[in-house]
Amino acid sequence: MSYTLKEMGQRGVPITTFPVIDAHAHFDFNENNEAGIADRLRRMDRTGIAWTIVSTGLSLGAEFKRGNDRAAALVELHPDRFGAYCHVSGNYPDIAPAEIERCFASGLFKGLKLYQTDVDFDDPRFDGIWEVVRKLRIPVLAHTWGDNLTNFDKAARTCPGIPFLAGHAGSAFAYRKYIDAALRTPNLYLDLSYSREHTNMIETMVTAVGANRVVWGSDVATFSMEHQIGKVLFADLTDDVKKQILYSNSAEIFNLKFADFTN
Amino acid sequence: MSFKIFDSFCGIGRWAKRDIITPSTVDEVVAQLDRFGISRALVYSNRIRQLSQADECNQTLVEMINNNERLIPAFSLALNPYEADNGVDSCFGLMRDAKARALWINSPFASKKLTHSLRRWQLGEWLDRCSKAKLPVLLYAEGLPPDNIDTLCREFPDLKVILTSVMYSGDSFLYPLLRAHPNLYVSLGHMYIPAGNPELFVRHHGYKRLIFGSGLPDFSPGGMITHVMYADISDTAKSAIFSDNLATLLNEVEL
Repeated sequence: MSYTLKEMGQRGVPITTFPVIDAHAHFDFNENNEAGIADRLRRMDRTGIAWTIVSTGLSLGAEFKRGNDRAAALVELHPDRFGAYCHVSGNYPDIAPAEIERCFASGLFKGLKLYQTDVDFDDPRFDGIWEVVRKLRIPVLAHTWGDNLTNFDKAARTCPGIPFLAGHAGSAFAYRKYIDAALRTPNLYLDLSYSREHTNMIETMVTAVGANRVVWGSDVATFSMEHQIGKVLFADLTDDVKKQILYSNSAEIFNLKFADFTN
Repeated sequence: MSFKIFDSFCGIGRWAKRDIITPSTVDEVVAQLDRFGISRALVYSNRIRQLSQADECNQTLVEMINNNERLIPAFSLALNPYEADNGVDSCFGLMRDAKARALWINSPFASKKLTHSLRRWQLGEWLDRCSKAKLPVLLYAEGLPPDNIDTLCREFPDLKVILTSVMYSGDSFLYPLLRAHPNLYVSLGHMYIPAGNPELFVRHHGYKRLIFGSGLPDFSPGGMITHVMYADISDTAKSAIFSDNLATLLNEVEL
């Protein structure tokens, strides 16, 4: 029997019609063991999340090499289920570019993750980072919040054609800021990971910027991936649009092939 | 298997700072309930979030509900310091007539602007009456110091307290509170979504103290539904969380 995506959410059955990609996730200390990883995979299987790209809290805390190595180790264990973000910071411009090159030389990383650290993303301290991004053509996900995108869109415009994902788009209900930023920045994508689920917000974003620039991420293990996927499953959108948000946009951004996944 | 859903955290009616994409009227909110398969909702008047006159908010709440059996009134605390009983008798009479089944003791989305104490010296008459009537009280937790919750539960040990808007990162204070106070309950709405839940909560506290809530009209219920439906817990637990727990609490009310 075939169900709509909404019906799958209503019934609590895994999404099997396409491989769901989680474009914004974390992997941290308390999961970094056999049981933790097994639990993560079980949860992904129960919802139908085929592949998740993670960064680590260690890197967020400026332990870049250790944190990125932890993400890489997870990918080595389960290359068909996980990808890794290389996480660096503009507050360490002396080491960030080399760390990005180191990570991507390994072949285990698929994107660059940045956090807001009181330095605007178009600050000269980020110049070295954007140089490497342009050279290696790396998709970038950044934590942004509420009214303050900290010029992430401006930075995106210095790297035309490279996907820049604005994390937590619409947070603090500032969805218009994100929409406006996306409308003036053709390579800016709106990442939906956010603890709240403002009524009609996803639909408004899709209408304004187009379904091809809205991307799903869960921000797990900050909070529940099972909650986050419901935001899209129940959205007042067609299943084709939901598939774009949950799968095909990220597949294109991270250059993932359907055949890579086994559900 | 499908489950009945009873929403513990839902507002109706207009309020001053509403964004244009957010539903507000009764018809719009009921349409949302229909869309998400929610059979009933415990509703408050959205105007109370602007700290408007609570007694007028309660009156308009009843008017808006207009005998719709799917919408169960949750009144707002209508303190009257000019009456000897602080307004209790008057409000309880109105609640009885309106078949209200719960009472908000602070304002949704306005907890940082708490205009009264939650202590016995201010709310004693009210909360003793609620305890006696088994009328649950709703408490908006976001921004509220956890000490307030602990003190409330200690001073009124028989009071049923439903916390809403506990953050997903709130377990550090929530778990000790739940262990200390058996009459404390938690609504999922609008962001009690820690990773690993609701399994973790059920493992530690059982399934009878977790209650479905959405945060409508501001927050859409879809994620909360999948938060429970995809959980590795029994159907009994899911049914309890989705509706049985709230129904049990509200059926015990003796106004």
